[in-house]
Amino acid sequence: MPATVIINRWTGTSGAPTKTNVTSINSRLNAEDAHSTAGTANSILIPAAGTNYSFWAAFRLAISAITGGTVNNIKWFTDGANSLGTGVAANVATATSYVQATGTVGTTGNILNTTNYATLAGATASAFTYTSGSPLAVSGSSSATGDLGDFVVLQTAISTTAAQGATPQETVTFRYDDTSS
Amino acid sequence: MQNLKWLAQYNDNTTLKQIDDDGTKNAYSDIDRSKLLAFMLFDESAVLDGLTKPRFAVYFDDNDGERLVWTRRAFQTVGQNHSVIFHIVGKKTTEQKQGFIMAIAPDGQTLVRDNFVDDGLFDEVIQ
Repeated sequence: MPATVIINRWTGTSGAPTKTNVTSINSRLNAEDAHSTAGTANSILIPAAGTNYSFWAAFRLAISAITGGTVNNIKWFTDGANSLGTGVAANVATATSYVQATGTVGTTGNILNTTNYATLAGATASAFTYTSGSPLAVSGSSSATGDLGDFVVLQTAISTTAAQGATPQETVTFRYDDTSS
Repeated sequence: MQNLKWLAQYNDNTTLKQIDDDGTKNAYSDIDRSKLLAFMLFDESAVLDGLTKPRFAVYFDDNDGERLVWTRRAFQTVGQNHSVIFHIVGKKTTEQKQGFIMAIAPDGQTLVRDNFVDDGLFDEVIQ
């Protein structure tokens, strides 16, 4: 049987994070450290100048069932086309551990970089540079149940030209190999 | 096709099944490649106690079982409650021998390449 692998979004403190299973639901990036499928209470304000950000969102795979095999070779990708609308970007990087997202709730998150997120692998890149043919490599391998691999940390960036309201939805995909029995 | 199960046929007329008749599960890493004659994938509904109905079979006539490649390659999108699983199976290419890699889609469509290619589906398998 294939391993059962789920996608969690982590929020809350690093000491006691909340892991929300988003395998079957969407997850919105707002100006708050919380998962929601459609929350609007703390949306990101369109800046008068410069750039505002979502609070970063940390995603990580987890194995909930596996027998006699390994899950490895993890990749992450988008469809390669930014459909979020004018003035909206999405940036991503992997990280080896979880850091709670910070910022000004209801206005902007702090920018996702190695200063604010020390275990980030490096500078972020546009999420849309990662496609099925050129995916983001995510370190990690496991033959047991539990959290799997590095984090994929995502943040949206809103510029002055963005339109009000919820952006169109984007899809992101994890790929992995599985030799379980 | 997502639930294909493997069977290793050895050159001493024995076999190792992914799942024995009594339900015991064997690991892919338990396959003894030194005596591997064939690696077969069976549909879940097919009878597994014979070698009559493999959906796919890779033979190692040159006693080169170490060249075997197999994994499930799963694609799981946030917000979708299922993963799409391809079986990647074939023989590694060596300096002496040309190999091949098959990607078996959930609907049974089968794609074949000479070797691994970084195209998102035929990427190298780590084993």
